[in-house]
Amino acid sequence: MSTAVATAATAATATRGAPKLAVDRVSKRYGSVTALHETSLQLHQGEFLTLLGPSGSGKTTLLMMVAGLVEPDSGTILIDGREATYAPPFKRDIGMVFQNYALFPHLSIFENIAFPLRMRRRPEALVKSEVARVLELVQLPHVADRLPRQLSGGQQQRIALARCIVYRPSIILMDEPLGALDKKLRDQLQIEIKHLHRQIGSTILYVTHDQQETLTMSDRVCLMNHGRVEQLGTPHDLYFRPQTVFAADFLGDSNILPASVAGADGEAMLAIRLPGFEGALRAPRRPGIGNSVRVMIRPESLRLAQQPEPGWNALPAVVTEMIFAGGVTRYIMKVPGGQQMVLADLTMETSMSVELGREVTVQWRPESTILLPGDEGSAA
Amino acid sequence: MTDIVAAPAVALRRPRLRLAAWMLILPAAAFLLVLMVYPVGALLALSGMSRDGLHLSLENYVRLFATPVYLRVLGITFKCALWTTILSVLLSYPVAYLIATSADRTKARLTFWVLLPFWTSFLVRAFAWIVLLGRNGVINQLLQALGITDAPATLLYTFSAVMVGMMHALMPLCIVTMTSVMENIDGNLARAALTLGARPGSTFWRIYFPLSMPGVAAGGLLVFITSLGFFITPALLGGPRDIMLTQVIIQQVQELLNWPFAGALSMLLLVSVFVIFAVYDRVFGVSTLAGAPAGTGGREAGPRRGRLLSRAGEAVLAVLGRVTDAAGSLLAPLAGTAANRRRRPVGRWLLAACVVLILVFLGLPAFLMLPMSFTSVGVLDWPPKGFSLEWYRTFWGSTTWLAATTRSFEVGFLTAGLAMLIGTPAAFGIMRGLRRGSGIVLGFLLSPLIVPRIVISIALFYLYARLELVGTTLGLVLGHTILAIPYVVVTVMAVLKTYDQRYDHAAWSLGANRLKCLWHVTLPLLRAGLIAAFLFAFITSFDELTIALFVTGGLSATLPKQMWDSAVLQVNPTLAAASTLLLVIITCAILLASWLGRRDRALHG
Repeated sequence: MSTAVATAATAATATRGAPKLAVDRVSKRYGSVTALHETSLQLHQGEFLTLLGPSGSGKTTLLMMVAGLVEPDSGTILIDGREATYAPPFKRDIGMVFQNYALFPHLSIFENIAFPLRMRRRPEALVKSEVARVLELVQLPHVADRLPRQLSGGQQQRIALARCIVYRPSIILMDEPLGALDKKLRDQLQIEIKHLHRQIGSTILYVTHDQQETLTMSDRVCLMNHGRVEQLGTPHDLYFRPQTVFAADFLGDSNILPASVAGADGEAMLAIRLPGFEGALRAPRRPGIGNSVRVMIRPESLRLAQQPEPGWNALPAVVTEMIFAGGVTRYIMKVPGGQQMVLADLTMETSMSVELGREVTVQWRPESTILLPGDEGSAA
Repeated sequence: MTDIVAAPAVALRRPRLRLAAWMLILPAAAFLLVLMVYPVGALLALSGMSRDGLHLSLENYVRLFATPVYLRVLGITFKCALWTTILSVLLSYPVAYLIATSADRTKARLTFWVLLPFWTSFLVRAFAWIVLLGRNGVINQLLQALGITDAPATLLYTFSAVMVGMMHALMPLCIVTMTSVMENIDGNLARAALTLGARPGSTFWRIYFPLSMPGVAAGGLLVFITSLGFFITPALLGGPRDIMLTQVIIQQVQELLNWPFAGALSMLLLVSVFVIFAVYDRVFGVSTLAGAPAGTGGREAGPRRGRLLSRAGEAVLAVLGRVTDAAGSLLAPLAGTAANRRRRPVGRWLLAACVVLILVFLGLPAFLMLPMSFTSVGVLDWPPKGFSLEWYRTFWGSTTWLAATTRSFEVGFLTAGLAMLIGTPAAFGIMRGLRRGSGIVLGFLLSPLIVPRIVISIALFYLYARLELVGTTLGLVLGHTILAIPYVVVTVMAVLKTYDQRYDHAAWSLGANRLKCLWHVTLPLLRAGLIAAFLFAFITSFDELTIALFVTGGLSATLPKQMWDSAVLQVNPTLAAASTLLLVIITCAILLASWLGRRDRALHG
């Protein structure tokens, strides 16, 4: 953080204190493959930060380095202000929840949860009361005597959480903890984890490739791609102000069309031209963008209309497909230049049925138009 | 095609499928019933007869338990088996651990160096120990050169020599068995323990070690019961005071022709093996033999299993963990303790160094015969003097040796063919149709590995003598097939486990009938595994001595039998040449099997 930004954010920093986790320019190579380019990241007290990205994006490598299970090639890692770059995992005061839970199959649920306390040589009375406390917290007080394989997947996941929070580690790391569960259970546990997070005020670094999970749970998101941080910000930021084509494409649905900047249109706006379309469109200015751009519009920002409203961006379109998906209906359309666009509209019982092949006008607010760098190479 | 229509069809198909599965298993099961169960049963029944075989009598058992000599033999046999087991398990554990926790490339390499001695002839390895331990052997020369001893020590023909030989022979089996259990222990468990605050020592003793116990028990069990039935090594390396039960059985049959008493001794051996096996099954469950770690299946380790005992066990493991961690912290200065400096995996290096030493112990003797076969003098002394091809010339010039080699190939191929013919369908039957009883069927098909070979051999001898099959190729092939069936079944089952049956479903949906699907889809995809199974069956026969010893005579000897006969007279360099040949052939077979396996994995992901 530059000093100027730091001064502006003094108030925030004062309440947050020093970062719980400071990752500074760490990198990792495996042979000729770079798993992670130099990456820096900070995690603050009580924050829920998600590392999001496709497989091979370096998110798990980064998590494993924080856990001390993988050694970085360069850079430093500070946990609670203490150097921990090459410290062994058992000296880091971290907790980790694994994708397959990694509950010890030969130990009872009680002994599994007691394990970290026993490793810290806590007195037996405390072990008993603490295990009971967290079992209560994850709403499974009756399973203490069972073995892990006698529990369902969702229950095992809750026990893995309990084992991790029982010793109040400085940071909790979660490696796709819900990846093995079915969708209903996943949705439920997302809310439970979020609730626990608020209840015990823990600091969580979470890894997932599921964008829905990310948006639901995170305070901040670190989007990763090809071993680099693509964009770091709040879920809202990432959704409404993606910096790159990759970010726009990875989070949520998007319409991305190649375009060029025709010139300024007032203080805050630029005039945009699409290939194959005579008229001009307007989009908010964005710093650091060249002449060749892409415009991105979320499907839910688009509207069908008979007549374009004044001041809105509008394109003539032909509806080629209509897809009813429950709460939402999607219209797939051809627009000038042979490009395809998708429009999403809330389904109403009275929703008008559009004739396939009919010419319509698709329109959206200029403010909903997001300019992205046009050259795809720069994003990767 | 609604569910209503489909339901009765499914209901009709199930019993038919199960019947088909039993039909596939039938040939192998019938084969073992006729050629193993029946003769062994007949032999055991003899033990209840008088010496002349005319009336029922307990005299054999009275003699067995009333004669101190036999009790002594029994004592030595068990003592030797026990020590062999303990030492084998202790030395195998680090090797299995390293293999199970290594990355794929290292794993493949280490596995190769374990498998090579595993498949190398017991006989060749016993010869190697004669050369190593002899009065002028490698070890005595080394000891004297280092000034540790002045005169050659008596190493050969002692109890220790037998034990070292047996350990050397059985450790690969132990390592392979342990590794299969350890590989199924989830690596994340150790990682989880570390993140939860456990140091490496505690992680190992409290998490990894208890989970690996079934592997230790399975490895130990196999070593123990195999060593009870061993006779090549004690016969070649042991002294007159170290007679084992197997040697007494042979003596009774070959020299005294006392079949009823041999039957009683066999009964004793067999009962010991089955009692040990039953105890093992009670504690761990037989499924752990197939590689299931603790707590993932097999017997329920629930609250019934003595709370007190498991508490005591946990306490011991906790102490072991702390001791190891304390020892580890002594190493810490070597490894580096600073949080900003890379740690050196000192513990791992120490482990790797130990494993290399153990692998040298396992691997080197097999190769010892190679230089010995080029010696220019007539005795097997170390180091070999000069260089000559004389012994290979002797080998090629001798009709006896050549006939034995040809015969071994002939018997080997016929055995492998027959074992594949009846073993492969059985593996399909077990994997593809059996719901109930598959454990029992599998146990039965694998039982030739458990029943001491010596018992099978003399039982066959007894049967063949009446059928006039002694000395025939057919008799030998049938005998070897008994031993080869378990290897074929296990190998084919292993490839079937990884075979995605949806390929078959796809083929059926595309119009192939069962036979066409098998021929055009299933078998080509399983080819590498099937060839490996064939090769294992071939090696089993090519290297087999015990059955050959009894059912071949004079001119019909196989290569190992010829080597044995020649070794009984004198261990000479021709034997080294023959051993080298055996080693080269077997190594080629293993390399071929492992290359095919790797190529197959590369092709099918």
